[in-house]
Amino acid sequence: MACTHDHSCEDHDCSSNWSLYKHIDLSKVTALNEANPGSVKSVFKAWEERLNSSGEHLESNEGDPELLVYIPFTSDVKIKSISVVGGADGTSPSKLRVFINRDGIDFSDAQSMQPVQEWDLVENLQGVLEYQTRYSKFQSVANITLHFPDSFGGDTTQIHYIGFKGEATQLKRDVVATIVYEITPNPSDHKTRAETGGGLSHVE
Amino acid sequence: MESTQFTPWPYLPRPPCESQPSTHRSRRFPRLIQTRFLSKPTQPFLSTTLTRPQSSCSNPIGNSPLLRESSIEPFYVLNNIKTNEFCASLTSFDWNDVEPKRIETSSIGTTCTIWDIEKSIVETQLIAHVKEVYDIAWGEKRVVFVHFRRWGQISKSRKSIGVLNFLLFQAFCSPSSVASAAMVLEATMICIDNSEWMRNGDYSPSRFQAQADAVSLICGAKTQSNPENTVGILTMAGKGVRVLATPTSDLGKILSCMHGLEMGGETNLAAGILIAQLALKHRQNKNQQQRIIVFAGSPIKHERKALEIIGKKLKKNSVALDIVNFGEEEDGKPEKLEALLGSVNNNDTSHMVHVPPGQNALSDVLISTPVFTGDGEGGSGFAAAAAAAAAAGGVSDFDFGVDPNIDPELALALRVSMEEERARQEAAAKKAAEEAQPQSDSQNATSTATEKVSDQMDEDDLLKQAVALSMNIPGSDSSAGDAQMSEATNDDQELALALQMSMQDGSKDSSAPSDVSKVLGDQSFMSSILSSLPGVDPNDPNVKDLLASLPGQSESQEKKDEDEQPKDDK
Repeated sequence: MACTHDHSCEDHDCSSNWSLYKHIDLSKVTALNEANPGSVKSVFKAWEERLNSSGEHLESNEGDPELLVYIPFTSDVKIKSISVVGGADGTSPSKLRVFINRDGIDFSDAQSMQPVQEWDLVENLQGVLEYQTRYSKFQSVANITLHFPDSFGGDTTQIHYIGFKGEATQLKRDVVATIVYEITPNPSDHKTRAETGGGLSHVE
Repeated sequence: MESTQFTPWPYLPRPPCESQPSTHRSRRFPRLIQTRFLSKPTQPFLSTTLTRPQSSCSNPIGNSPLLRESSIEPFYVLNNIKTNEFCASLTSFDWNDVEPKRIETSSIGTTCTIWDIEKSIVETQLIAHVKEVYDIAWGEKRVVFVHFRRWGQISKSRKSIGVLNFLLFQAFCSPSSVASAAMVLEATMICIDNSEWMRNGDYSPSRFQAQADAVSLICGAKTQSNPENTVGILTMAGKGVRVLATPTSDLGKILSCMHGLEMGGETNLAAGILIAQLALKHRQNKNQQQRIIVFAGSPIKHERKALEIIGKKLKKNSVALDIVNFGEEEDGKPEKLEALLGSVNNNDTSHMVHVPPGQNALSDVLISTPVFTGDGEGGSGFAAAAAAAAAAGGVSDFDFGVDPNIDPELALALRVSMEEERARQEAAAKKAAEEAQPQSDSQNATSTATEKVSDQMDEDDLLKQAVALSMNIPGSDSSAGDAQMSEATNDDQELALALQMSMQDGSKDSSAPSDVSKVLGDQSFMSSILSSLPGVDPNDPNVKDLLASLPGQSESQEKKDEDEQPKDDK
């Protein structure tokens, strides 16, 4: 299902609706079958810049238009709709299948598993189309995987922008304790027993 | 420092001279160091000028030259200053006994720096102190430094530029660990060839045993470089592809499943790789990068096309592939493997190594390749230790002076630093290099390992060159155009060598970017250095030409020509 904006975007503040990109954990975004490793991070930007493709964009390898993008969020989000801006000349993706809260999906998994929802995409070079989700299924999304199986006949698939509309909760689905190593240890952060007075009960 | 059995650099003796008055309080100073003082004690940059007394006699290796201190001239300027002229006072300085080209300095600017004086660059800076460091010394296995109140120690077991992987600071500062950079989190599947072809004895003791040794070394290296790495094993021949161990970090389990393996059957390379990929897909920690290491010892019966399709599939799922080509030499095998590598390779994460049969054990050859050392970031301590052990076995031409049998940690630190030097010297010297390659030919054949080989050659040449210089042998051969050096007098030779080597660094910006390379390439800095050297007139047109040609130059010939001129002006 797609809908178009029947108003001019300057009047309505569309940009603030598409602000879920701020909640994306960019360092952990990965993509499979991308031609330039790391280029996937460039597709997450503000709504105003969705057409600004002067920088990098996400492109699949030559001759293989399939793409898989894994996007973790910094907190659980509710996604209302998704917008995708593809490339010209048939390099826009033609289908989108999404999976929620699954890590480590690769192509064989993506092709065999039943997606949470899938859409037939239209060439959306202006970025005015959005695809609504079945909201009840997208209530607490910690990470989302987008699978673009095919393009509109082009040799590769290009994606210039991916946007999410919805709201962010402050909750996190599961808290994974990360180990932080100190590069320059600061002794004042680690008071020894002697320095703190050497009390009988001392918790470090 | 009094008695060293090994002094490769003849112009670094330790005469009992009295040190010049300076503010540092080190007592073991054979060299004169000038320090510049600072207005604010917060700048960590420091500059030292090493000078040496002039001596005019010829010096065979091992003998300290007699000191005829007719004059003092700056020999090296070690400068890490980036922005201004001031630096913090140095409090102490120490020579590395085993590698006299390495010194370390400590300063009140809370930093300690380890220099490579031959290249006049900073090797590592230790910046984790919060107060002034009053003294620093090389210990047998550790570097010891004195902080304001307590002693601390850092281990020399693992040295890598820019990596504060000295688990040292645990001893000094706090119980919490230090960041270890260059730790790639990886899950690896090793595909072993246990076909009939492996009974052959052209690798000692047999192909299969050599493979098994290599496998155990790889497992050790991977788990050491990152404790969360996992390794799995599968065999490709026998009755069919069989997974012996799924990716695990338990080294014992991996080694035990290598026991009692039987040879037989034919290798199914394609199935082996695909099953390895499947095993990696089901790894427990999805954050790990996926890597497959294949030992291709028997002839390949698959078609090139089929291998390319497999390669593409691996690339699509971002799996890296390392291929060890050994054993049977068949027509078309290298091409097939190259095709496979080409279709998998994504940004140089995949490598291929050719190991021809010969003296060197398979595992020894592999140690210095990217299979062990990762993508060139710096190997694991384990790999370096094994490399040092190999070096003791005579594989390398170098005499480290300290055998790994006595002090493995030190030996592997040397080995690692050697390798890093090679990586740096590769580009410039490679052009002028023409001599035979002392190292095993296998490494020359690989795309990614050639760097290390030519670097080894260069290191060797530099050593020979130093030897030749010290013996005043005219026309000493070898790389980097020292041919013209022989014409000069003994004194000038060494000074010019120092100049030339420091300028070589300036020209190697592309291949080995280091801060000091850029600094050396900086004209204004070079002119200030040159002006501080006696006998070099910065207004001399030749010197000006030299300076003008410094940035981005790659012809060492031009440098040498101009190198001669300022020397002759003396």
